[in-house]
Amino acid sequence: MSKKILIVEDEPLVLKALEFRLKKDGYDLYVARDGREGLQLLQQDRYDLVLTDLMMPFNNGMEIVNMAKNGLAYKTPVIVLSSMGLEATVLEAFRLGADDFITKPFSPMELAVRIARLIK
Amino acid sequence: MQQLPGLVLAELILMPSQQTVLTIATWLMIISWMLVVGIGVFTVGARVYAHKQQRKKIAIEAVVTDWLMEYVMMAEDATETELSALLEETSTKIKNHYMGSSFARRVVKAVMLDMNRHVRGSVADALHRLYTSLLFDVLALQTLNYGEWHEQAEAVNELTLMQVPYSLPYIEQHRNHRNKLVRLQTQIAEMKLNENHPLGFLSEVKTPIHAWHQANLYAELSKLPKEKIPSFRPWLQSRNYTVVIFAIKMVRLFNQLDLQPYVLMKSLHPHLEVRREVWQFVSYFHIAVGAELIEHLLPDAEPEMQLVMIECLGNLQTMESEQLLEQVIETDLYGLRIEAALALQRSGYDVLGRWPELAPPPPPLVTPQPAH
Amino acid sequence: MHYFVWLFDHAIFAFSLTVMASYAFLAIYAAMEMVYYKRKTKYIDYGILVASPLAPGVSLIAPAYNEGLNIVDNIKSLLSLFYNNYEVIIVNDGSKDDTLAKMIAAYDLVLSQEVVNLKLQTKPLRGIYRSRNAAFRRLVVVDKVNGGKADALNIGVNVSSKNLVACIDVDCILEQYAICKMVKPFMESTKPVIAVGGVIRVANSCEIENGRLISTQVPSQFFPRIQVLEYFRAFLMGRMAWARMDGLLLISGALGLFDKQIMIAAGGYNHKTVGEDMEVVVRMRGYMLERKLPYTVKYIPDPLCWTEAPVDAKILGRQRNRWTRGTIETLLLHRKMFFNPKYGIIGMVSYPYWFFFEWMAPIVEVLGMFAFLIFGVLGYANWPFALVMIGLIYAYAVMLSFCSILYEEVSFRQYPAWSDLFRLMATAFFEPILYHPRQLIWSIRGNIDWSRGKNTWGEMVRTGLSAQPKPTAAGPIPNANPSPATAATQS
Repeated sequence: MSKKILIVEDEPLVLKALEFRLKKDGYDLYVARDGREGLQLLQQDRYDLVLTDLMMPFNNGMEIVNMAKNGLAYKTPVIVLSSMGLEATVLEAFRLGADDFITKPFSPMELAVRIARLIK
Repeated sequence: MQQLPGLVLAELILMPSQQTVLTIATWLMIISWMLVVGIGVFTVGARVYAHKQQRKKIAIEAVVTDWLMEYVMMAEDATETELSALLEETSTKIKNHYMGSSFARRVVKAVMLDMNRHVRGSVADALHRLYTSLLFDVLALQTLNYGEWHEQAEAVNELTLMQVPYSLPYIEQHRNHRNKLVRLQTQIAEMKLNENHPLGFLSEVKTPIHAWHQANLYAELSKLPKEKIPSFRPWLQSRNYTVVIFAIKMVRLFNQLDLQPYVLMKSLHPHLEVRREVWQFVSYFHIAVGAELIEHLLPDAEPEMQLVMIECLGNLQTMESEQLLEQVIETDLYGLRIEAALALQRSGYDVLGRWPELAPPPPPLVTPQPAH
Repeated sequence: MHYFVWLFDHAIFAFSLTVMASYAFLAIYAAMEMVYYKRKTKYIDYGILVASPLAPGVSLIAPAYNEGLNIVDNIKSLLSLFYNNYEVIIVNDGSKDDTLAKMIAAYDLVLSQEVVNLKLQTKPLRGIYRSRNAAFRRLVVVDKVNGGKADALNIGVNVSSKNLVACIDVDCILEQYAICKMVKPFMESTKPVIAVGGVIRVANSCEIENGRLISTQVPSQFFPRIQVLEYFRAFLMGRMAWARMDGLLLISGALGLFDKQIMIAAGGYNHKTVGEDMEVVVRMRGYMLERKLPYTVKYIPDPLCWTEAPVDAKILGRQRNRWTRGTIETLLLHRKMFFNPKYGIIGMVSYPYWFFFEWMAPIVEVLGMFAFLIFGVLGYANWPFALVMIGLIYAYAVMLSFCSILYEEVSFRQYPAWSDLFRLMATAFFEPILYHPRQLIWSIRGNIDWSRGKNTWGEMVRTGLSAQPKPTAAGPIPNANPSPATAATQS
């Protein structure tokens, strides 16, 4: 059975790149285009991994991290993918429980490897 | 009638007849109505045209994005020979379909630049190779030579983002361009394309590098690997005071603490903005000798500078700085009592506990009653 | 008598031509500036400022008076702008409702004992509150005795710890990158910038969620729709052109960014006038010019700030009445600038423009109509001339509105629906007939109220009235609205 990944990302091009790259690795992708949709999808279903942006309309990506890590009965691995590479932001994400933090611009290959490591 | 034309005109302006006024007004009215119709039609037309372009753009974007994605994802783990074949195939595909019209070319380029913004590593490299194989670099260099300032700036920006190192000598010529946007883009380009001396341009630049430039340059610098950041020492001696300011800021942001004495020497720089930057530096690193220096320099400084120094003292948080501030508050030195109190307060000192008289005056006991 | 009529007709004609010519000039000049601005900012990445350690500090100062209903949400949206180095100072101007209590509860505020630099004279301070929660470290709430908007802004400037102060309305919706865009002119100008003005848009009928704009729409009600046109003309044509000449006299109270040191040196906001937003710019300019210091005032045409416009005639009328008084007071306070070459463009162009075309034009227009009526009764009226003049002025007014619609269309195109475009065009035809007469009446009433001495906040406070008009529950504070510099004045 293929693994399920939830992607929360509002930038269409990044989304497309992620889709192309991760489909190649055989994952099932679920896509939310803003923070609110992301929170909804996260509550509806169980995923093997969540990949989220930080600056998005409606809900901040930090809330997604918080929900995935502390808001549900089970914990889902979370990778944050953001252009906000400030130390304070990274620290905040890790404090909330994020498993990995990748800054944009990113290398798709590196991302795929990091995902594979977390999902197993 | 043998009247001079000037006289006719003067008469027309000074005392036109009833009839002339009426005629002029009528004509103006007709022209206005024609303009209303014209502008209305033009507005609607502009929107129709924009929508059409938009639809075309979306259609091209959809196809090209897929092609590009396929290409870069395949290129990511391809060998050199495979990559060449892939590159050939993709660029032929795009050339055949979309390189004919300038509009389509612009869309293709925009997609590539947009993608480039988000990715790095081998994917980005593959993208850059495609950019050159589509000859966008040649077009950009042409624009750089013959375009208007905004087109020039855009071309430089593009060449920088797409990492075309051989364009550097052409770009460098615009280092002191009269337009500041072109200058800024040129400087960024030099930083990103010049492998050996990313900041060499700082020695050459004659025009001021204002704050917006500095923020942009820093944003690019911070993306470079740490070992590529040179020591800023040479630029601390620059004749261009804005370069000195920039250098001090960079020394601070890149933690080049070994340059501390050179920065402190700038506390005697003739330009006020440079000195302001020095005290920022002192505050940032809590440099202990700062308090002593300020004690010496405070009496002769301009009022504006005194304020900066007082603020700096508040950030130092050493015994000496605290004592100096207390002294300023006690004696109201240079009328800077409140400023000193604020500075001390910021360091967590219980100012109001020691000088309760500094508290803002309390409101009157009788406050206005709510109106009914 | 015929001679009088002749003279009258010619005077009217000459005045109209001057007004029209100046508007035509402004329109063309604005177009040039718009092209320049668009080229300059084509691919600017404001993102680099958001997290940059080199971004200058900004204090947003928002006075709040009886805002209990929405204050918590408003603050939340102000705290979530894309910028790092800023603080939000909410000045509770002696509200009579639960504004302060709500803020304290929602943001976990505690009274903070601290020294304040009282550089600007204001009504007494009751206390400064800061949050115990680190997530709200940017928030400062100042509680003070009621003293009006200018007074509240002044205390905000006193409390501010940053070098740039932005004076805004607490209920306006700011675009996420608003601070970045407003700060940029301060960072890139070769001359020192003392102030930057922003654009106000009408938020009525737009879809808003959590203090953020979701989609834009032309207002369905008549008065707000008229104001959309008015704001187009004022912000896309008038101010754009004035900014290019560096002759901008008015920065809307709803969004302006100022150099704090200069503002304090010039004396801050004047609480004796109802037009404090215009007065402060004129005074800051005067301060720089009198000292022969180089300076400039900049303007950002992007739609950065959306605000609820008055819906009914009564509130709108009060607002316009106040703008008229504010203009008159400001002009009189700085009358020494009138055609004074020492003040450069301001003295020779901007000030006279405001004097003749903003203050005098409505008066001339009404007087002209009266005179014509009298001539008509006496049988001296020149009917063909009158009809042609009315036709000309009407056509010209519609033309200007169309022109501004075109500018919006090619620059920002905030209303994507076709129906919105056509409704705006239709409105342009109705406006001169259905709206302009009211505008005249409001303006004349403003003149009358001013001459009767209803001209200061101070006197109104003393007579026990509240300093600011009481805002309706859901509506805006009328005085918090911006005044467009140029409304198509017909003479």
